[in-house]
Amino acid sequence: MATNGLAVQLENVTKSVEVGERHLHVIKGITLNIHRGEILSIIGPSGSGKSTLMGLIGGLDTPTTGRVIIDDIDISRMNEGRLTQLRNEKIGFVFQLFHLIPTLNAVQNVALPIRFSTRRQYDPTTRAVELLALLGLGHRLRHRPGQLSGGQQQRVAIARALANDPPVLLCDEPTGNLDTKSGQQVMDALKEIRRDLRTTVIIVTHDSLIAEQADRIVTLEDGVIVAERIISETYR
Amino acid sequence: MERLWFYITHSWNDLRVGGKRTLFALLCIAAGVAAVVSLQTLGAMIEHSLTTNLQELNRGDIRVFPPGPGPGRKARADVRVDSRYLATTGAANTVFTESGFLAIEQATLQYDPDAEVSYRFFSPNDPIAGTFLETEQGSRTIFPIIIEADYSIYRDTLTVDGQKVGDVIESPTDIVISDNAAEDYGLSVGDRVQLNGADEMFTVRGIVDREVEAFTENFFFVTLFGFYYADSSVREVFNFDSGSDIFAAEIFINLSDPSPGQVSSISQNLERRFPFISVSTTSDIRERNSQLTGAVNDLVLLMGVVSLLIGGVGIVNTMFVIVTRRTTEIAVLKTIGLKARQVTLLFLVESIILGVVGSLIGCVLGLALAALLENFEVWFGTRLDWVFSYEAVLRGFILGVVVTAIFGFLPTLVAGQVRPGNVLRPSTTRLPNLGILQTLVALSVIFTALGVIVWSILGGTLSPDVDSDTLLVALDGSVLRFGGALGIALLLGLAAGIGGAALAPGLDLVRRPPEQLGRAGRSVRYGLLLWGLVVQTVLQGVLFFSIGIVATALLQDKITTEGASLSLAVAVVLGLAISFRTFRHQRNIFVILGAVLLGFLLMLSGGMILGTALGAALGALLPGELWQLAVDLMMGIALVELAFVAVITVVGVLWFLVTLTARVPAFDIPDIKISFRALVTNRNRVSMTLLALVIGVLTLSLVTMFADSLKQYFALNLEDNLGGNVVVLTFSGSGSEWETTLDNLDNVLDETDGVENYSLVTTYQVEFVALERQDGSRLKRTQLIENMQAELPTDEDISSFLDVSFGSIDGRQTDGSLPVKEFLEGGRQLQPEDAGQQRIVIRGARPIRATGIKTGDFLIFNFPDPTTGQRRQLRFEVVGITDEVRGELGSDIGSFIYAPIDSFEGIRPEAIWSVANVEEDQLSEFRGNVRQNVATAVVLETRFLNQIVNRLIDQFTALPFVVAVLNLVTGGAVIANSVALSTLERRREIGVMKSLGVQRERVLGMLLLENSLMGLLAGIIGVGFSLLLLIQLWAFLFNGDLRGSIPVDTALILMALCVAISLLAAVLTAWGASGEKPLNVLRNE
Repeated sequence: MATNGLAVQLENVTKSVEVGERHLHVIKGITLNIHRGEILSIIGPSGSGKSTLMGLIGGLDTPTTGRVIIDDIDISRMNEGRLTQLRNEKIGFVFQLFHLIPTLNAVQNVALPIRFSTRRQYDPTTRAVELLALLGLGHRLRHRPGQLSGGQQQRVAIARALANDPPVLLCDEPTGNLDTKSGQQVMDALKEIRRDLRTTVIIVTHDSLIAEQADRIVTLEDGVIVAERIISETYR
Repeated sequence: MERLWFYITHSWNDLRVGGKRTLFALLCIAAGVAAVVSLQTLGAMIEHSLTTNLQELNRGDIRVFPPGPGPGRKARADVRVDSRYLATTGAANTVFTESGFLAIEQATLQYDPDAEVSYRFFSPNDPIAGTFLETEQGSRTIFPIIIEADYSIYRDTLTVDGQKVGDVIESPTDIVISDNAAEDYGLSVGDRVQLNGADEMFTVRGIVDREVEAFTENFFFVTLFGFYYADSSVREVFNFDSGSDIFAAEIFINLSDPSPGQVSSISQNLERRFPFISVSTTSDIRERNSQLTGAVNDLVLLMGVVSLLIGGVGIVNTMFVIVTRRTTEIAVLKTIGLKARQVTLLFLVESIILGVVGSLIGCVLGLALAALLENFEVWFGTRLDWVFSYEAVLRGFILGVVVTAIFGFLPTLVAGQVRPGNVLRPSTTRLPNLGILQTLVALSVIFTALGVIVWSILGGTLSPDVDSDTLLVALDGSVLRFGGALGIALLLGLAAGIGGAALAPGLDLVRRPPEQLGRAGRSVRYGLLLWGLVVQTVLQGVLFFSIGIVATALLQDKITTEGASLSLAVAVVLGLAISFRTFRHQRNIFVILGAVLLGFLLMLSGGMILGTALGAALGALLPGELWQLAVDLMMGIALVELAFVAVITVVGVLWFLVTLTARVPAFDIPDIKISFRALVTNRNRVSMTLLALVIGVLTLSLVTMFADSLKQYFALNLEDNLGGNVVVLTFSGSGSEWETTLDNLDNVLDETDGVENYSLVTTYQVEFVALERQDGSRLKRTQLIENMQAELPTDEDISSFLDVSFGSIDGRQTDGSLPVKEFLEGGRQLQPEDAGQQRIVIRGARPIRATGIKTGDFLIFNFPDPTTGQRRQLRFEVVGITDEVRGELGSDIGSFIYAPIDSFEGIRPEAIWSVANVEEDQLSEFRGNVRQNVATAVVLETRFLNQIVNRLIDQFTALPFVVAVLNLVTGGAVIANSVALSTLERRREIGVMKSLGVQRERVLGMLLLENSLMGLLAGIIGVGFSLLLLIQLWAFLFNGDLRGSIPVDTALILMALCVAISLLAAVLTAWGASGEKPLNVLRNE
C-alpha cells in the first residue's frame, strides 16, 4: 500500500530508442502522479508516446532517465526478473485485442497469473471463479475465448488482470475493439472495480467518450504532457 | 508440478489446434525415427540370420580347411605341404587328398567315436566341370556344392515344399537347386538339365531357399550365381579320373557332444596333429558374425541418425514458426508474470511432446517398413526374416525425442527472449536476436548433447589410438599421449573457431562505417574487405568451374583441356562479375565474410594449440581408462562441430544460390516476380529446407548414379576389355588330349561363319620360385613380400595377393591381337617375334609394382603336373610391366602374367580358352559347333557376364539404396513441413492478393511455381554434385574418358523426382490455403 496515497509516480521520465543510426526521443521528461483509486485517461494522437508511457508504467520497459515508482517501489533500474515479478503482483493489463490464450478456457485464463505467482495469495481456480462471477460471467466459466463475444472476452481479460489483486490496472484501448454497448459495459465494470477494490485504473484511449468517464484526463503530444484536466475527485 | 501440468496441457492443446503445421512437423520426426527404427530392425534381422543355427552355418561343430588363400586359412607357402594329405590345385590353393580326409576322420573318431565326419567334394583335375548349366539360351554359371547327401546337416535341410534334401537325392544324377537358380533358368522340380563336363542328363529333385547357403562362407557365389547340391557319387558321372587322389575342399565334423569345451578341445587336438589345417568352430562363427553385425548395426544406426538429423531441420523450422506466430502470446505471458526460463520451458515441453508423438508414430512406421524390407533382397541378395527388436524401437524413440528437444532448443531459447513490450505492438512479429554469448552457450549445449549421441553410437571408433607409439611426444620429461590430445585440440579448436566466426561480425571494426574508425581501424577494415573479396570471388569461381566441368564433360563425353579451359574462363568472368556487382551495392558483405573467415581461422589455430597443450597435460594426469573415455567423448563432440561447420558452409552456399536464382530475369511476369521475391525474403528457411532435400537427393543420386554408371561402364567396356562378345572355356584333359582340344577349338574358331576375330589362351598353374635380377641376385617370395610391405600399407593381404598373381601364367598368341597398353619405363607388349621365346608381360597393379620387379629381370616358375606330380622349371624374361594404376577396374580377364602361347615347351596347360567376336545371328550355330567339336567346352556370352555384374552391383547398393530412399522421404517431409509453414505465414499476403482480385488458381500457381523452383534447385545441386564426384572419379580412374558411362537419364529422373516431391508437398499444403475466403484470413490474421 502506497504510504503517500500515490499508486504511480513518474519523475522526469525520458525514453529514447535507436532506430537505425538515429536516436529517437519518444518521451521527453514526463512528471506525473496518479492516486490510488483514481481513474486516469491518457489521450493523444498516434505517435505521441502513449503506448511507450504505458509500457514504462507497466514495467514492460525501463526509462532512459528519470524514475518510475509503483506502489512506493522504484522500478526504473530493475532487472527483467524482478520486473516480471512486479508485473505479476502489482499490475494488471487489459488490451484492446484482449490477448487471451486461445487454447485455455475462461477459468484457466484467469487463473494463469496466480499459478505463476511466487507469493500466491489465492487458490487459482476458486479466485478465478469468484472474479468471473463478479464480472457477470458465472455462466461462461468453461468457455474458450473463441466461444465468447468481444465484450465477454474483455471482461475475462479484466478478471485475469485482477487475479493477483494488483494496485494498478493498465488498460490499452480497452473498448477499442467493442461496440458502444459492450464498451460501456466494460467501462462500468472498471468503475465498479475502482469503487469496490480501490484499484488505480489507467486507460489509454482515442475515444473521447471513454476518456470523459475518467477522474482526470492527461493529453500527450510528441512525448510531453500538453494538457491535464480534472473531471472529478470523488476517489479522494 | 501444477506448472508442469499447465505446460503439458497448454502445449498439447496448442499442437492440437496447430492442424497441418503440427501434422507435418510430426511427419518430419516420424520419418527420421522410422529410418532409425527400420534400419536398426534391419540390422537385427541380419544379426538374427547370422547368429542363429550356428551349427548349420558352420556345417557342423568343426569345419576343417586346407591351406590356401582366404580369410582364416593358412597360406600354402607358410606350411609344409605334405603330399599324403594335401594336393595342390594350382594358384595358391590346396585340397585334402582322400588319405588326408581319412586321417582326419580317424583322428576325430579317436577323440569322439560317435562323431560324424563328412566333406565337400572338390572336382579333381577339372575345376570347371559341373560349374555351368547348359540351357537353351547358352551356358550360365552355377555354383556346385557336392556333398555327402546323407550328412546330417544336409540330410535335414528342407526344400521349399518341405522335403529333406537327403531324401530327394537318391541317385548320382539327382540334384537340388537353389530358388534363385530356378528363377533364373525357369526350372522346376522334375526338369532335366545338362551340366558341363557330363554326358548324362541331371534331374532337378527339389528347390531350396538360397538362405540355406547364403550365410555360409559361400554366400557371395551362391547369391550371385545360384547353386545346386549333388551327392559325392556324382564324380562317376563327371568321368573324373578315379585314380586321382584329389578329394575334399573342406571337411565337416559333427560331434556327439557339441558343448563349447568339447568342440574347442577336439579342434585344438586336430590342429596340433595336423599343423597345416585351419579350423572354424561354432564359437569362431559366433564371434566373427557378431563382429560383422556389430559393425553393420553401428553403420545403419549412423545412417538412420543422418535421416533423423534431416528431420531435425523440420523441427527447427516448425519451432521457429510456432514461436514467431506466438510472439504476442509470449509477450502476454511475460506481461502477466511468466519468467524467460518459464516461457522457454513451456516451448521446450511443446517440442518434447512433438518429439514423443512423432517418435511413437515413427516407431510404428519403422517397424512396418522393416516388415516390408523382409520381401526385398537388401542384404546381398538374400531375404531376411522380420524380427521385433526392442532395442531398435527404444533407441529410435529415445533418439527421436532427444533430437527433437535438441533441435527445438534454440527456437525455445529465442521464445524466452521475446520482449513483453511486444504486446503493445502486436503487429511486429520479428523474433528477437539471441545475444552472441547466449547463442554460443546454446550451441555448446547442443553440440555436447549431439556429441554424446554420436559417442553412444560410435564409441571409440573415431578416436585416435591414445596408446599409439608413433605419436608419443615428450614434454617436461614426461611422456604424453599425443594421439588423445588431438581429440581435445579438435574440440577446442573448432569450438573457438565457431566462436570466432560468430563474434567477428559484432566487432566495431566490422559494424561501423570506415569514417567512424581511426586510421589503423580503417586499414584493418580494408584488409578484411580485400580478403573477403578474394575469398568470395574464388568460391564463386570454383562453383562456376564445377558447373562448367559437369556441363562440358556431359556434352563431350570426356574431360578435355578445351572444356576445362572454357569452364575456367567462364568461372573467372562470372566470379568477377558477381563480386563486382556486389562490391558496388553491398560492400559490407565482403568485410563481414572476411572477418568471419579470419575469425574462424585465427581462433581455430589458437584453440588447437591450447587444446594440444591442455590435452597433453590432461593425458599425463588422468588414468588411462578415464582418459580414453574423455577422448572418445570429445571426438564425438568434435565430429558434431565439424558437421556444424560443414552444414553452415553448405547452407551459406545454398543461401547464395537462392539469392542468385532470384536474380534471374523474371521477364516482367508478376507471378514469377512474386515467387522469386518470396524465395529471397524467406531465404534463411529456404536454404535450411534445401539442405534437407539436398542431402536426401544427394545420397540417393550418389547410390543410384554410381551403380548405374558402373553398370553402363561395364556394359560398354566389357567387350572391349575382353576383346570379344563370347568366351569359350575348356578343360585340357589328361595326357596329350590338350593338344587336340587346342587344335579343335582353333579349327572351330577358324571355320565357323560369323567369327570376326578371336584369340586363344592357355592357362598354366605355376609355383613361383624366384626373381632373378639383371645383376644376378635372386629374391625369393618372402623377400618380395618384404618389399611390398615396405611400400604399401600393412593392412592389405599382400602375401595372398602375390600368391594369386604369381600362381598362374597365360599363354597368348603374339600375332598382334594383344591390346595396346601403357607400359612402365622400358617395357613393351609381346610382339610376333617373341613367338616361342620365354618372355613375359606382367600387369603392373600397385602391389605387384611394389615388389620391385623391373623390365629386364627374370622370373622363375615351377610347372607341376597334378597327375604325375613332376615339376618342370622355366625362366622367363620380363619384357614389359603395364601401367594399370588408372585401369584396375577395367582390366582384362585372365592371369596377371602372360607369355607367348608356344613358349611353354609342350607342358600341358590347366585350361584352354578363347575370346571371340561372333556375329549375333551366328551365335547359336557357333555354340553348336563348339559343343560338337570340343568335348568339354562352355560358351559364355558377355551379356550374361553383364547380368552377373549388374546383380553384383545391385547387391552391394541395396542397403545404401534403402538408406538413401529413407533420407529422401525425410527430406520430402521437411519440405512439406516448410511449405505448410510458409503458406501459414503468408496467409495475410494470400488474403490481400485475393481481396485485390487474384484468382485462387493463380495464387496456387504462384505457390507451386515457388516450390517447384525450390525442388529444381535442390535437384540441380544434389544431382549436380553427384555428377561432379562421379566425373572426377571416372576421370581419375580412366584418364578423363567417360565413354558415355555418366547416367544422364538417371540424373534427369532424379531431378524430376525432386521437383515432383516439392510439388506434391506444395499441393498438399497450399490447396486449402489458396482457397480460403480473404475476409476470414484478414480478420483472423
